Amino acid sequence: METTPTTADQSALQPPPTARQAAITSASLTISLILFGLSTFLPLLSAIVRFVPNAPLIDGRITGHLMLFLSLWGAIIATVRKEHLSIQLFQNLKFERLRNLIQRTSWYLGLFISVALFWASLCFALLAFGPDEELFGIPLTVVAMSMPLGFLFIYLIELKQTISKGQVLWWKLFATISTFIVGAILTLPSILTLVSLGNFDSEWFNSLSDAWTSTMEWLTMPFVILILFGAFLGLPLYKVIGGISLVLFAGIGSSASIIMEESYRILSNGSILAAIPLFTLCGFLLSHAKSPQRIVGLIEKTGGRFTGKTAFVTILSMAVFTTFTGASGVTILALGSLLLGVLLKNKSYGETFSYGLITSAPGPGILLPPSLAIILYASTAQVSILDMFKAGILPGLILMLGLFGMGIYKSFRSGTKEHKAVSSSEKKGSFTDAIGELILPLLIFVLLFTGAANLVETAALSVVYVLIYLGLFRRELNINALKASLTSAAIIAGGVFIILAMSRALSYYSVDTGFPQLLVEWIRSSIASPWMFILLLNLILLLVGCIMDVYSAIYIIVPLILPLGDIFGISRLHLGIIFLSNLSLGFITPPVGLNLFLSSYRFNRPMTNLYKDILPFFLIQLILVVLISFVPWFSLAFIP
Amino acid sequence: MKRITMLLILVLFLIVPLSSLQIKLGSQAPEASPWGDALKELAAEWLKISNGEIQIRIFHNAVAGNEDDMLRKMRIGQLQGAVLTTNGLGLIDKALLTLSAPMIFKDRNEFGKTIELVKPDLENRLVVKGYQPIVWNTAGWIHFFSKTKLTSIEQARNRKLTIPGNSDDLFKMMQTMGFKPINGQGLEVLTALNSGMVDTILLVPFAAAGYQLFGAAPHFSDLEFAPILGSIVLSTQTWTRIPANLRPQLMAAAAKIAAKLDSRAVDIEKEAITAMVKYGLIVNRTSQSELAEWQKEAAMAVQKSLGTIYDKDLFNTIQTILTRLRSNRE
Repeated sequence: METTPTTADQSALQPPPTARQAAITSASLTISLILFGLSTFLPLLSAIVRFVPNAPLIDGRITGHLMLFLSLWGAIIATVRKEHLSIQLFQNLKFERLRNLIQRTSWYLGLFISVALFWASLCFALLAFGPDEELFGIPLTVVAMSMPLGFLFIYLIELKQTISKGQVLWWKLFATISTFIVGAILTLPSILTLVSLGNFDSEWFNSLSDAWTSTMEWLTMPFVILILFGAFLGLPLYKVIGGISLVLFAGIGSSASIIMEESYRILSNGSILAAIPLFTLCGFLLSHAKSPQRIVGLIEKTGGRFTGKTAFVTILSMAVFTTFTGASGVTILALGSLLLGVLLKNKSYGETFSYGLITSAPGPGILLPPSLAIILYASTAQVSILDMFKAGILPGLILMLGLFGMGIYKSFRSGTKEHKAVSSSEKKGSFTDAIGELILPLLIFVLLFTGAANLVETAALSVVYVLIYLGLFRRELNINALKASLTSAAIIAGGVFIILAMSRALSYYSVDTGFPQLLVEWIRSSIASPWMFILLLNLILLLVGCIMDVYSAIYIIVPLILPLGDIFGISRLHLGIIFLSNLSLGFITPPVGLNLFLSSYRFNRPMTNLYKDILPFFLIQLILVVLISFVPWFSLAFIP
Repeated sequence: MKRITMLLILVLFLIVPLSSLQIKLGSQAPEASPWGDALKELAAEWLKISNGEIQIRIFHNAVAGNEDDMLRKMRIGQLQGAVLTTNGLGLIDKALLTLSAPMIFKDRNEFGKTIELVKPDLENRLVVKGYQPIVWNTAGWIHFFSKTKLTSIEQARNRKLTIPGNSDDLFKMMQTMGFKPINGQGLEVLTALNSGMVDTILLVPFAAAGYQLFGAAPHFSDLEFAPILGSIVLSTQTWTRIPANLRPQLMAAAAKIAAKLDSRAVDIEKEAITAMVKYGLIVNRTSQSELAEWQKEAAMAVQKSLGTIYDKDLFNTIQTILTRLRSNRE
């Protein structure tokens, strides 16, 4: 198998662990197993009890909170293994002293951001819940204490990693105390809110808080620049986004706990997000077995002499999967490793093309029925859902055709045959061989289309199916593969969720400061031509797609641009297609498109390489999105 | 150098004065709705009354989250106020859920008058928990929207029904009535309705029109299942920062706007239904015998839920008021 080595595979090359390390690994695996086990079992149980009369209901919030625990746990493992996503430009620097200095600066920045996140989450856990709010009989305050505990763990691990044994005592003390103080200062309003609940003079506290805000207003920009600088020094991405959110909120006098509230809001929701770790686990399990080989065999031997057919299968399956999840990032995590294996195994495409295709292929799915994003846009914009589905068909197909054209071109130029002339019995054999893999997408679509299960339940059933099929029937999964898949999936879930949580906080900053409204006001007063408006909208939405998830963007941005579209005479259906296609492109826009991060993380591929991989795909999609934006016919062709 | 920096920071801390009061208010209602307009009117009135000292910034369209998100934001000081319905108010004090118990009020008149009479008790319950209600009004009545005709309780018992949101108590209540509720997780309710996982949904007509449910669930039952109470609440910390002499005027202005909104409530609902009928919504009338069956079954379920989901004392108070109102009417 020629997939990129995963972190778990790499660990196999390291020297044998000591007894203490082995005990820690075993405990860590047990926790991952429990969390994944419960995340699979509860949705399954929920799907089953639906058919049992008068059975007790499974509280959906439990699954959501399991995701909160899983993300914290994954973030802890990623910290221990130093596997948080980061942009490391100086890792190959030859000057050792300079490299050490850079490393220390990045560590130091990371430490005080961890402390700030700890304080923010402690204040959040203690203040944000009412005394009667419970989950499964446990007060939510107690449940939410997992957040400060998680960040405290992360801080202590980082501190241990930063302070090596040979260092002098004063440096150790300085690092510990100073990072704790700076972190606490950054979160002062949260701490003051917490303390003022006692019998303190709240007027005095209010004055102090206001004074602190004025000071932080001055310090916001220097801090933001420092943290951005840290990003290039290898500061984990979630800390870059979290750190910037911390100082920006501090600059407007907001409590840092808002970062944790937004994180809690997205992580404990339990809806679509809860499917990510389960589909990711499925993806890891499939790529550990011989599934990619079987699918490659099937594609090679069937489907005729059709050039680019592997790319076609990839684009189609990823786009269709996205229509159900509504989130292209989930598709990368769920299907990415399997399809990457298939593309790489087929010699026609090469590494760069394959990574680029896997990262960009899910995008068009957002425009095709029954995309949840389309339904939500239609509800928000008050247009017919059916008309909106019709409006999305041609633009979605155009974007898919663009990708497919690139696949044909690449396959044709490589000169490698994707087709093997085989007898009909061999064709039949390849089909029988891959039938287990073919059942999986069928199972997913049937469950979702018939309404037999929701997305999380479907993901849980997929895990069970893959375990039975590959573990019991095929016997291709050994205990090591299972362990490696569990650890990798936990790290990916933790690493990705914590970035999503911090991004959510940053996007709430824009809501809180009214930035989207200001921008819209500026457009209203400065732009007169509809063409100019569409062009500007393209640029703004690309930017929005880089920092916001689709659903937040629909709620925050759509109500603002609707009146503008009306002023410029742009149909709301066409505006919706402009909106969603640009957002989808924003996810693959270098340097900060969300899907680039997910791909880099999932496939352990450096961001700088991924920028090169994605560029041709980005450019082609950009041209097509501009075409869709400026030619309303594509969106309105099927509308009476 | 370090000392000078510390001194500068300390001086800065001491000289900055207290700024005017900004109230960040979260609301789930769309900006372009009667509720959105009313909130904007409230903001303008308060600004005028306070000579520009009190600014309300409204976060419409649920951008600040659903009701539990908004409450958490209030507790950490990110929001100073929120527009809550019975569900959100029930998170502050569970007893308030009693006001939305199914079918205890026969009509809007009974509900409105009862709220007027229990208002002081409700206010006390919220104030002791750190929230100051500014105004009360009716946010609408919950109705059944389904894929096929639904008028009787027996039909409802055979449906796969859901309520948007994630309230464990409401689901338990549904089960007590003999329904088969399906957990509705936020946005998934919309896809669940389209895929057939769910065939019946309980919503206020205005929200149903917004979500365009007439396509996936074109049958509307005229049965008024339960009222939804609405209230604007501020944190008491924020309320006490408002000069005492301004408070009665601010309250009066809010009450005036709410009264205007309440007087339009029936029309708003009718307009939403008429708009949906244009796009294919079918209105199904509940017969008197069916209504009697609903009332009997609902009363039994509410009785069973007293002490667990609904508050016994508040329920008894409501019943006393209703008995008096009904005897006066007769």
